[in-house]
Amino acid sequence: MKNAYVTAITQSILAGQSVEEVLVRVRARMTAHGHMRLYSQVLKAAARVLGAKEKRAVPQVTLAKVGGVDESVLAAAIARLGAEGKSYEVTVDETLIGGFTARFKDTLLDASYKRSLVDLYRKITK
Amino acid sequence: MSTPIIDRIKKEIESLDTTATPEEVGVVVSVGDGVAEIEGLAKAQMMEMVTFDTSAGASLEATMKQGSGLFGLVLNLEEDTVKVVILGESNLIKEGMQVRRTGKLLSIPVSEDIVGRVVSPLGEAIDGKGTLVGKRDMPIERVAYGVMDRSAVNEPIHTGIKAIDSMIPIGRGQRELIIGDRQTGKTTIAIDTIINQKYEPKEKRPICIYVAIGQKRSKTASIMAKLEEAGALEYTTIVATSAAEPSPMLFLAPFAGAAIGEYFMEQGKDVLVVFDDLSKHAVAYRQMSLLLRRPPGREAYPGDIFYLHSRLLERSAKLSKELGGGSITALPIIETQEGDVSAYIPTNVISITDGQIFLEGDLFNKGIRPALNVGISVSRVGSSAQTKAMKKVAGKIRLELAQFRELEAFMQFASDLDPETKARIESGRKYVELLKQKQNNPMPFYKQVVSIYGANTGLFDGATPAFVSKIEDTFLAFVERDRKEILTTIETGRELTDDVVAKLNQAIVDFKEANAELYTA
Repeated sequence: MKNAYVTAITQSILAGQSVEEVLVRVRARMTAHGHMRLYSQVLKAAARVLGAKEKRAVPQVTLAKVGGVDESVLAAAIARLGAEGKSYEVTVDETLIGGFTARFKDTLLDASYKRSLVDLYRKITK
Repeated sequence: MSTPIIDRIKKEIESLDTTATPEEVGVVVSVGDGVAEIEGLAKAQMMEMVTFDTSAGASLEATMKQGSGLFGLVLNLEEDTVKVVILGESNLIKEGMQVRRTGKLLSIPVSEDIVGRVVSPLGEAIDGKGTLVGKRDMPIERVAYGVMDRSAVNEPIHTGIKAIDSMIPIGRGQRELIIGDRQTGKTTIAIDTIINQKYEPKEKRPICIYVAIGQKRSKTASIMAKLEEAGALEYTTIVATSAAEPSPMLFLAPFAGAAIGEYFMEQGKDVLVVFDDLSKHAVAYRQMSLLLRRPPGREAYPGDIFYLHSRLLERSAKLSKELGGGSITALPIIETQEGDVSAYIPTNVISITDGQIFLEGDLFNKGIRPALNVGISVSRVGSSAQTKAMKKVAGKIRLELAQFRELEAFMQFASDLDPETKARIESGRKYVELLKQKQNNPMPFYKQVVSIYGANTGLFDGATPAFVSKIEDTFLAFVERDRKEILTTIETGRELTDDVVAKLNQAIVDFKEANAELYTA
């Protein structure tokens, strides 16, 4: 039930309908069917789905430390992911040890030291 | 630290490739009941393995401790998402977690070292005897060999159970169902068959695979102990899943058994696979399918439950000479409720297999063990695989038992019966006694031939049915001690030649003379 409302809201908004209009229609529908108790949960889930979709549309770069990787290397990585010239969001994750990860839509480029070391460890201990 | 290890690490570091390549990832949208819904992974294939990135935000040390990672199996490809069953602890999966494609269809690493070991459906050793190194990755799911790749079933696989080897013979490459209620001795027949393979010459001995599907861990442990004690574990692999494991593991277990079998079959070897049992497998698949929101059908099983079992059992085959001549013989087990063989899963598997061995609770409770109902048990292809020696002696036994079953109802009026009917009943009772066998005590086929030949030619004449077992044991001991050449000739020649028949007749006469006390009791 909840998922059906969430899908309806997200698809309508992504199709270009105004948020207010969609919400008014959904509220009317939920009231008519006595589903208003689910309203807050539906909104939260829809916001999460839309947020995730928005985030995926922007290239994401994770670094072990700020300035740890040359800008040109990052730009080349972003280009390899098919987002050439797009601005990207940067987050810091110290557990990467070094290197970086870059993600755009459904593609990930993991050039972190952590990944290399874990792969090496798994290869040796196999 | 020893030098070879350091050298290996150095070598690996030297050849380390740190260039990253783009890989397809998805994100967990929802997770529950062992199933994760993943957004992304648009190019994922059915039955592809994916890895959950449980290392996000974890230190290097913690990530290394996680081992090879947590895997999932793609089973539903939907419009925007894929549904994946989690092959491990589903409580480690969180919403928003990254999931990577591996590009590999689910497969398990197999090598010769897997024989004698207990493994999980993913091919990991679970017997504490060290890790297993695979030589080849065998796909869990694959299309079975085609018609032209196969040859006819023409070689027997002996179970060591007189009633089966004589009347319901099984051939290498056949699929023979063992069906019956709970506690009727289904597993015992399968285990006895595995144990009996030790009597086969090493070069002809099949590799045995016992697949425990959702069994109690105590039962699997006791089976392992029995096989070890009988010296059968050295040519057996156990694929173990317990009732406490997630349903995807139970679903994969028989396919893993078939994959291991195929590794050896493709080398020209014979393999015997026991699926214990497919009723639990069907239940696990039903649970998984319902969680994947696939539409339920009869008894809430998904529509493809027949296809699930047929594609599994089709993988047992006898390959043609050109392909090495290897074989997989399958002994699937089905548990019925109150003897109802017309339920959904039993009828499915009955129609897929090449025959069935029916076990009955009533016979079991009467002390007839194995509790085989020979009237409705059949083997559709096995008779062409029966040895000539067995074929020669087994013809009479089926007829005698059929006549006995017809007259059995009159047994209580024994005093009013004519002498001929009485004699038939008496003879039938002796055959029933002869076919009784103790648990985990399979008999090599050459001894079975001697025993049944004896019964056909008057070995038990003059004795009461209660003494049949004792006479049989004593006679076999006598032949083994004093006329060993009879057994050796049958074992090697697999035929009852006139010479052997003459020797056997003489042996029976001599035995009866020397053991008259067994007949007067």
